[in-house]
Amino acid sequence: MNRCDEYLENLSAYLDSELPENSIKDIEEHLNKCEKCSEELSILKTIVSALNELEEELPDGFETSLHKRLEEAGTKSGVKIRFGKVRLFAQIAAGFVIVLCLGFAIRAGLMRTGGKTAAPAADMASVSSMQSTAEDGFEAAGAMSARSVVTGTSRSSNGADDDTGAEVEFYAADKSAKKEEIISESMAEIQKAEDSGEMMITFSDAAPYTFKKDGQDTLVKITADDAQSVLERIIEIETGLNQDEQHSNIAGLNKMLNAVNTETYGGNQIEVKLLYVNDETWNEFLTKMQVVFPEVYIESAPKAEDIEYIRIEIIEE
Amino acid sequence: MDSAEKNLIELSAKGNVEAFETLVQAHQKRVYNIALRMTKDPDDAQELSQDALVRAFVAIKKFRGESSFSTWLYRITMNVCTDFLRKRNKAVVVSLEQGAAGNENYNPVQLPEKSPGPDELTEKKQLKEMVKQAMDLLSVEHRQVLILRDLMDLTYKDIANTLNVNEGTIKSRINRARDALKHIIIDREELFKDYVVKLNRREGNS
Repeated sequence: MNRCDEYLENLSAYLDSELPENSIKDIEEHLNKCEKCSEELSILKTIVSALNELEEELPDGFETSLHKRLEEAGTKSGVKIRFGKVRLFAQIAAGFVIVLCLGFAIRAGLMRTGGKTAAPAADMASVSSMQSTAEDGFEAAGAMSARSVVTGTSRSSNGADDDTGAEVEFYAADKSAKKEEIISESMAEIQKAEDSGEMMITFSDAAPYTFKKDGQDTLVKITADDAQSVLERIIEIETGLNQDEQHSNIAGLNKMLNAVNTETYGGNQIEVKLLYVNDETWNEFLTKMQVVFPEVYIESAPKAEDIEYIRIEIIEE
Repeated sequence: MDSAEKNLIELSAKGNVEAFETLVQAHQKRVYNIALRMTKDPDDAQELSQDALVRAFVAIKKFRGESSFSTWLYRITMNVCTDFLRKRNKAVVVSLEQGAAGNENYNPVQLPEKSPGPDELTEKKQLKEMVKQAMDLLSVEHRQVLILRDLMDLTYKDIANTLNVNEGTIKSRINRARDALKHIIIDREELFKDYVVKLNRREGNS
């Protein structure tokens, strides 16, 4: 790189007054004697000043129609973006996750007819197994979740009403009254969020049926109308985290994104499991989640010491 | 954050539409312009900028003042726009290599072959139109930084916060974006360089 190239790289920052004091002096000295670079600066100035003037007026009626929409948003029941930390008992956590999957899949019309039922289930299975890593625990969990979904799905197509809001039985749940109550509350909350059509993030404590005996599985669930963009935003966050390569979640996320992009993944539901090696990275992830999804309201999150893995489930509506 | 703004934010969080409207009064034109330059379509821009404002209204309880209110609002707007673009057309990115030539929507502005006379207003208008068209051909990433920098006048730090990218990346991205913009214009318009030099001389801007 010759001297001019170095200066040219800083030309924009110079014009924007974003260079440190010592560099300013240096670049100005150069500009004084280099015709080529000062001509570049002059072109840059012209373009930027034209860009400065691109701002256009608001269209007629903008404020009136905005007002109407704000009023509508205000009158819809309560908070549009729903969030809940859902505490579940160990044995039924698996059932809970499955019910959610089914609930959304059915509502999305994926399982409308018996004949087609197998397809989304197979997709889920393949996605779940795709998430597996070399770690045994991880693999086992992926397989388990895939198997559970398949089981649940066939049950749904045989028995329950396939239309929206179908009743789905918990085949894995211990049906004590208390637990049922918790689940139905959670379902109602999720239903409300779904009805409002807004994004939702749910953090929930879940069961130790997963990866490590003492570990906790945490579910982060995002309902979005564009799973791809949500995935991309999460990858963006992950890229900025200080995790070593061995524990990085990026490869898995990219795999998933690739599957979504190339449509090898046919369902409308994605589930990824993310691993954070320490409190610091988990907290950083959480902070960035709140930055990257500013429109999502996050009330609380599990404490770092309570989790080892987090599962993110993205449902495309 | 001044106390008036803080007060309006608190009222908005309680669902007060009028308070929110006062709060965004100073920003809504910019929100619209972000959407307009991102989508290139006035109807889409109106729809999306209102989407962004409604979302901000609903989510304002979450706003804790960690960034300025405007940065937070622009971030929501950018998210709404990029989601829309991804959805509408996965191949929305036009790289510099593919260039403007491959884009059938590109309609180069005809520069006058001879000196257009003393009508500087017309010249400026033409230049503006040319830059606007070139801007529409940039990648989403490049457009984002130029909108935030050159239309919204944000600092590199605020742009970094808005896009959740580090400041060093923003610095080089802005430089590359402007360079790309310049090349689109110059490649298409041989006259551009003379034109710029002439314009600068006249304005005593060089």
